[in-house]
Amino acid sequence: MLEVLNLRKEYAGLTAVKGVSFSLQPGDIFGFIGSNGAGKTTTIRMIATLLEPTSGTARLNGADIVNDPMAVRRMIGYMPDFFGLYDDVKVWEYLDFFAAIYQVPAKQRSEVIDNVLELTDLTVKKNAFVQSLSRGMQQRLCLARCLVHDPLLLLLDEPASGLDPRARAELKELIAELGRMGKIVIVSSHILPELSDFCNTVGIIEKGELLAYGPVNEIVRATQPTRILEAHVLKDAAGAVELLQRLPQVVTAQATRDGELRIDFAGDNEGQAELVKALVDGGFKPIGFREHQADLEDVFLKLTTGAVN
Amino acid sequence: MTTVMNWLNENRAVYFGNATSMREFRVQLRGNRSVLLFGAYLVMLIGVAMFVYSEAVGDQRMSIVEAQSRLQSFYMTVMELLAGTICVVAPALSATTVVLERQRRSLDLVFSAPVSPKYFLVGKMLSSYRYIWMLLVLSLPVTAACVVLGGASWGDVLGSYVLLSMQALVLTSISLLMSTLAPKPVSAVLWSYAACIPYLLVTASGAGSFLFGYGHGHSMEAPFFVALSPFMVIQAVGTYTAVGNFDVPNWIPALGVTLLITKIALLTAGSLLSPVGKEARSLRIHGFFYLVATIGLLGYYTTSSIGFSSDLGGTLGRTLAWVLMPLIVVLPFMTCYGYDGENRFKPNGMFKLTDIFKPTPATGLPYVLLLIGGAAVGLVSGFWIGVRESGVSFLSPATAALTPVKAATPNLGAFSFVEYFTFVVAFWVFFWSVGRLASSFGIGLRAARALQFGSFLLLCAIPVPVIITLDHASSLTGGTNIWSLWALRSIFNGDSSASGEAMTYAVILCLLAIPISFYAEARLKEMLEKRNAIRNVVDSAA
Repeated sequence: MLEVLNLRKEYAGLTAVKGVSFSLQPGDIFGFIGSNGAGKTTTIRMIATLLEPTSGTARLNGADIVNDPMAVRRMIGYMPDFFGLYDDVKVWEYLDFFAAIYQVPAKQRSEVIDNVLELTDLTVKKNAFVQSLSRGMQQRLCLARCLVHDPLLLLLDEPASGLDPRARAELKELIAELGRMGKIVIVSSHILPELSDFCNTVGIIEKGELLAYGPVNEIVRATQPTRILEAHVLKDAAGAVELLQRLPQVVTAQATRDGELRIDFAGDNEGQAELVKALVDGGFKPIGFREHQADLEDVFLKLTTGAVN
Repeated sequence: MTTVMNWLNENRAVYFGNATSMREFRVQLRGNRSVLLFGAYLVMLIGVAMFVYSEAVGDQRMSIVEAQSRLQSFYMTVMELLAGTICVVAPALSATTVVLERQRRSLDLVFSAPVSPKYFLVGKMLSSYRYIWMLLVLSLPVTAACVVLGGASWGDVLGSYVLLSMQALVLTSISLLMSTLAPKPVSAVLWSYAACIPYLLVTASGAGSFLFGYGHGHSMEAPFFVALSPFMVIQAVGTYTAVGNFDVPNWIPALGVTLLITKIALLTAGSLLSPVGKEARSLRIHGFFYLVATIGLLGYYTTSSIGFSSDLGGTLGRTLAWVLMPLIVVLPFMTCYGYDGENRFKPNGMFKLTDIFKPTPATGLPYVLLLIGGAAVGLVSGFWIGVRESGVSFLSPATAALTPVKAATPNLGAFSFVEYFTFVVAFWVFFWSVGRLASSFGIGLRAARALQFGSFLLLCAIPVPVIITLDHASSLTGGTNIWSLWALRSIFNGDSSASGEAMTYAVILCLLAIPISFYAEARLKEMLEKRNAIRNVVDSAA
């Protein structure tokens, strides 16, 4: 279990992270969302024991990042937002090096390397030089490196940046698989659609402050108390708007140029049915009706102002 | 028992199964490049050796004695060539190792693993050092030829190789430290040579002045530092130091010093790399003991030169002041505080005696005082041991002959020493207070350190040209004149009045340090109050 407790980092005249707290269980995939400079990388680097927090701490299975960083390091795999690869070695040598510094016994290393290469679909590149790999492959090699010691927590900082759509899809699948394997995965990104697909928990950070944190649907519900409904009537959209505004559960209603109605609705499913009935009873002919599903992007835009530290 | 086993396992991993070293070495020896480089090196070595041999011996007839002498000079040339190669190659090999990792941004990957800076740095050092050893091994055919031809014995060759490899270790560790400090590979190489050249000059001049200077006859007894210069390995290889009834070969204490320098360099590099600062604490502990030991050795070896001084206490006091001057390089890192660095540099009080080796600003002054006290004890103890062994009189023979009554009760000049000691304490306390003041301005850690260092230059170096311009006729030594305005005059002045002048400056510096440090504390308090107020406003607004 990972507990982040009031983590704070100050630099000269700047508070990069202001008391961030959250906790995650094995199997959780946590999407850490924020603009560039919001404090995601600083938080991740503190959890990875690469930065000393000004105050606060984090505990991974009871091991404290400040008091026992070595114990924490044994349980984490950190993938920064840059590759930092050794170009002049072969893929297996690169993994062998990291397996050795993670104290994987020499007799097991070969098997471990084969396993992580298979998991990351790099088996065919085992004897290739690192510099000869494509960007997507290098990214997967970085992930393979993080996995050689079978860590409990994976810290992936902007893992999909610079990848083509195919590589991105493959990476998403891989991260989802890691979650299914019972690992805690923290994925930071400012590209929201890529996170919403596989994260079960998200945290939104801005100017070093965690604005929201929890399961995706709960956050969406919390930030979006009313439903946005979209309807299409055959004619007289303006009249339909007039009718809708008289209904008690409708907060606002407006018509777009092409005749589509956008309704901010405070009711439940039963209320939606009543609304459709009211339109029909009022002589309007609805030819389309659906609920607009708010996504992470909506939530993010609603919660944040775009300001950075 | 478990602690010992853990320690053994940890060191086995660091020195014998080091993954960093293996990776580096694998890359170094990959492909044809290394074969070509080693081949070119061997061809060059053999070519130069053949040229030197033909120049030295030629085909003319000569006596056996002359032939022997020429073969010895041939051997000497070969060893000088090897020493030169090592001095050039060792810094070049290790200078870029850490800085390239930083540039490649792979340090984060390594330090997110359970790897200590020691493991990483030793790995880097071993890989460079192993390469140097390969160069030495490759040169064996040439030096073996010297043995076969009669220019040297196998003992000479092996001894010289041991000394050369020791010096390669020192140069490697110094360069590794520079590689940790430097921002770019090019500057790392330049800084490495800039740091290694003074070391080579100091050791060569120290060894040379003894081996070729006055006092070194046919005896092989010599101070151990003659074995610290790579350019004097042939001369130093058979020397020894007499300790009681034992003749200790000089390579043994030289090996100790080599390992100490290496350890200090690696600890310093480690404390720069480590985010949590455990190495910095270890550096303080080692730094203290090594300083005491080094200054003790200095006191021991300088017995013969200062034992005849008529102002023994003053001479020892001035020596103490001189040997502690390099403190200015580290003092800013021990005394200044700020919020823009790591937690350990945040203000945590003025003077904290508990946990003195923990590197925080509050333990800065106690640690500096501990260093000064330890250095004084080391110097006097070393000197005393030297005096006991050599039987040197505390008075000059001339004085002793003129004043036989006084000779019975030797004049140690203890008061002069106390005066100089007080001056040294006051001098460093004053600069400590300047560091505190600079930090209290809230200008940031780096700026505060620069300001403290700048104030040292202002007080110690800048007055010199000004005084010379004002009155070039006055003398640095002798009675009161314009040079008396310079705080450091007393440590240049060997006159009997100099210790009194040192005491006067000690009082002045103390009188300045006390209000400065209290003013700095008041400013710090004000700064902290403002800081807390701002934080409260921000928190309540949030």
